[in-house]
Amino acid sequence: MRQIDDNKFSFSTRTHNDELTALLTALNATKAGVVITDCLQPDYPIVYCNKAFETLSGYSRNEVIGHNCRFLQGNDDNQDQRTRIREALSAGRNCTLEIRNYKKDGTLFWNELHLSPIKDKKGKVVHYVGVQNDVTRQKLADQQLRIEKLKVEKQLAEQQSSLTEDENFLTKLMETLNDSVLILAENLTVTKVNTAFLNTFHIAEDEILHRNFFEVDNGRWDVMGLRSLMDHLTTKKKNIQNYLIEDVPTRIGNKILRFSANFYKHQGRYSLILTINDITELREVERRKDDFLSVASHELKTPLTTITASLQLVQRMLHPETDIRLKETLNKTKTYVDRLENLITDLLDASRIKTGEIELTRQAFDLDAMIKHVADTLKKTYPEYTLSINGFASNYYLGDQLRLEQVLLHLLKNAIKFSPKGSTIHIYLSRLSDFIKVAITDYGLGVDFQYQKKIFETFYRVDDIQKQYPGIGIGLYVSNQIIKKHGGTLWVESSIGEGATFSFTLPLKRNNHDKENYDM
Amino acid sequence: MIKKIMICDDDEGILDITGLLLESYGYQVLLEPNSTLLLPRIALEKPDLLLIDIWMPQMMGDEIVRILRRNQETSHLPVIMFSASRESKRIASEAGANDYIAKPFSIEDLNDKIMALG
Repeated sequence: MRQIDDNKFSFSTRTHNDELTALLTALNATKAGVVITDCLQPDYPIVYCNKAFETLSGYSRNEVIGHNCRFLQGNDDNQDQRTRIREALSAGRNCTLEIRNYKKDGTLFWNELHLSPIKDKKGKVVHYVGVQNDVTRQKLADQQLRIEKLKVEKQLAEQQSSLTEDENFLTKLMETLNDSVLILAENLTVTKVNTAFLNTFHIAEDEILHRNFFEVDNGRWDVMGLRSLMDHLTTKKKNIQNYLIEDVPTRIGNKILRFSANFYKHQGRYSLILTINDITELREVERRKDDFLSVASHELKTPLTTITASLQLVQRMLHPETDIRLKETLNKTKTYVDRLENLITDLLDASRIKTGEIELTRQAFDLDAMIKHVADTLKKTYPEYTLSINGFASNYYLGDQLRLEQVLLHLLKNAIKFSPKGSTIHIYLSRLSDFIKVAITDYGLGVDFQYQKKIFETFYRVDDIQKQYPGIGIGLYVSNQIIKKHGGTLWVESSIGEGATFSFTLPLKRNNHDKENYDM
Repeated sequence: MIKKIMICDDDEGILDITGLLLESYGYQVLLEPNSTLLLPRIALEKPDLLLIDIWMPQMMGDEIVRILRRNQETSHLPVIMFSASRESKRIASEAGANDYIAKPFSIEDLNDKIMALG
């Protein structure tokens, strides 16, 4: 390369004057890199570069003069921009573009390059001036922005597609349900409704969709019970199950409606899924069944009362010398009539329990005295067995005395039924913490471990036992349900052939076990 | 000491047999199948105890007991109610009966209850 005086730059030997020197000094002071190439030389060598170019490229002037500018492209020489440069140069046009260039240390920088031809009087391009700016930071920022934008767009697209999928799924799900379903926004605007709702309540979709729940059907649903339910839901944001509201004045008449509600939070907003069941007819059917059961119980037991009373009368009228066979026959008849009565009672109880209709009364009574009374009654009926009561439970219990008597009678009769004549049945009473425990131990057949849970199911009978001791397998089921309804548990511990102990507990404090209408 | 017992039940079979059973225990028994005629009969016969069914067609047993309890002359008349439905115990106690026995009953249990009120 030629030696060039720092202060006296020269394009070539052809032009050189003071004005030019001033211009060159100015060029040297700009922040943009400037190079000038000589187009009359082969391969367009650089004949000038300013200070800024040195700073920009990391090359010293000495290292660039005489070289073609392409060294700035390093190995990255397959860029489209090169074609544009070539075209501009051959056409002698201006050209502005951004091109990837590399500093001396190999660092990439984005070069915003402006190429301008310098022509002689005849219009021939003699030089090209290249003005260069390092726009890397801006370029990277743009690029980053573009990447971020793409990312966001992609995420949005994904969310949109997943939202659409969710939406479709939700719609299908809602349409599959027979229950009426509404989806409400936090402000109780209906955002979705299923066909079951529209059909059940005879409401058109546009009458309800995007409207406030309480405006539906001209505000018919704006009743106190429902308003307080909704207030509760929106304030507490807690799910509820099976909340009943009677007499909702819908378009199709006053209805008993059962509500369940579930909240879900999506993108910071709450929505409420409300399912509604019209149980008006179900209630009516239940009421009729209840009436039927009452009537059936009454009608079956009335003739039985006459039969029982007649038998007792005949027994009392018997002469002391009456044939023993007649006396025995009458006793047997009495036993079977009693069994029939128990069966009727158990069957009716079981059918009521099955539908959850058994309601317990809660009255204070002396539990120990009740147990003693039941045992005394049985002693009269089964004088060949000894019933011994050990311990104390409570002389004050709040519960359904009649139902608990029924349980005790059943367990004691079972103990007697499966124990050999002349044996003792023990009744152990105790108090454990805030529970009462009653345990009835017999020395009878016992219950095989595999049946110890099943015997509390409806109509479950242990096969071998069935042949020897008939019954329909309801008593333990009913007893278990009664104890459960009191908040206690009933269970059996036994080994085959060694008797059995049936125990139940009853909580002294019932409040925690009382089932509320709904759990809020 | 209870000697004279009035029994009221619309089922005449139960009425007759219960009457006979109680007679066999030495009580004097008065029978009334029609609940609407019961109040004047009680006023007339002045029984020592009333054994009365709950579910009767013309006038319900608990309604009669309430009337008896409001009337000064009969407010202390011992009353045992009987019924074929288990839930009736509550009705009996709310009406103001002294005791209750479920149908079918054992005559010994019934007699124990009568004696307890004597």
